Amino acid sequence: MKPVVWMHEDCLRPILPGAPAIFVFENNGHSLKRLVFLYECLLELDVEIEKGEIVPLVRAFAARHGADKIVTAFTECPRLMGYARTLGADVVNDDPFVAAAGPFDLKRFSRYWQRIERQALKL
Amino acid sequence: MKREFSSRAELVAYVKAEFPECSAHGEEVSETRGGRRAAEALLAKVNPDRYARSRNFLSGAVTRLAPYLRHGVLSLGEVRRKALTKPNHEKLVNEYAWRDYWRRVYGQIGDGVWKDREEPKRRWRDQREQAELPADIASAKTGLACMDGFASELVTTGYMHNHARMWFASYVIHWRRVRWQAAAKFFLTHLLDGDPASNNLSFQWVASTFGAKPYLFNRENLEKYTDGKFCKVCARAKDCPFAKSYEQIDQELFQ
Repeated sequence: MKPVVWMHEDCLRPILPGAPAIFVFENNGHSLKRLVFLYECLLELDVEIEKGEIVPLVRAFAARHGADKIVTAFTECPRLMGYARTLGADVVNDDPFVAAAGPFDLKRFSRYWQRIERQALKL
Repeated sequence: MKREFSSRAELVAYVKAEFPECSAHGEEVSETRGGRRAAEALLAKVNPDRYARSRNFLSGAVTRLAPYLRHGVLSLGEVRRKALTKPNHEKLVNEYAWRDYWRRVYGQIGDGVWKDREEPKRRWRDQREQAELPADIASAKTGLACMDGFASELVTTGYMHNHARMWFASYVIHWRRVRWQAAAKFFLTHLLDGDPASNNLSFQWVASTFGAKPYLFNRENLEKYTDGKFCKVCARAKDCPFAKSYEQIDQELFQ
């Protein structure tokens, strides 16, 4: 298997160390201060930085590296997960807050906290 | 895109040139540095015990980790485990859990975070709602030293203390009757940690469309947790709209 990583702005940390990685800046209305912050995060990572449309750029990157798999990090963002589906990417949730399995009652935080508290407070 | 820069100034100039549209939101750059090194330096300083005792004060021992959590430079699992190695960590872990909770709700409702989750629990006395954020609020010219200070810090640095976010949101939504979505957009644009999950759902909590009652504050509360630094210099200190009891504010604002 020869994977590449599509890194997105909800997970700027290595999820598959050693695998070639790409990040694509979309034109999504960020302020200069946020763009500079994101860019500084990327400069500390071993990642190719591009701007433009995510799907064609990630596909071209995967082809260039002869990859047979694209891997990306899980996020709750529907837009980013939509791209992951289009790319046919494997989605990994590498380090969740707690490993408790759902479904959860999310009507109010107090109900959620009651459910996960014991696990959250245990190493 | 380029990866080698001789200075931060060169990086900033490059980003401005590559993304000219971002100037629509101003030319400010935060002193908060991106990257794992900066995140780890802050994480090492986190003191859950001091956090629990002082986090509501603007001068309190808050973590400043939000931008790094927002963008996954640090994972929630990692900061939780780090907190657990230190004494009196329950409150901090509970606050991290809020971020996890907002994310899970976002995962359930997606772009529904832009719509009222529930009916507001109270109706304003004055029903004239403002669809857009008034210019005096966005440009820090309300004359209220606290609110202008918060807006100015947000635009300049991309940061606002959590308690200030609550006061500011409450002022904008309930005193000025601005649609919470307009204020949420302002925050999303300028916060380094702005994300639709924590941001929009917190606005809904203040608005009472995702909570049991509207969040209100008064001058006594704000003055206490800011050590009075705004009230001392406020031109409107004598006609402060917040210098009332909670009962008076409730009656004034709501039916």
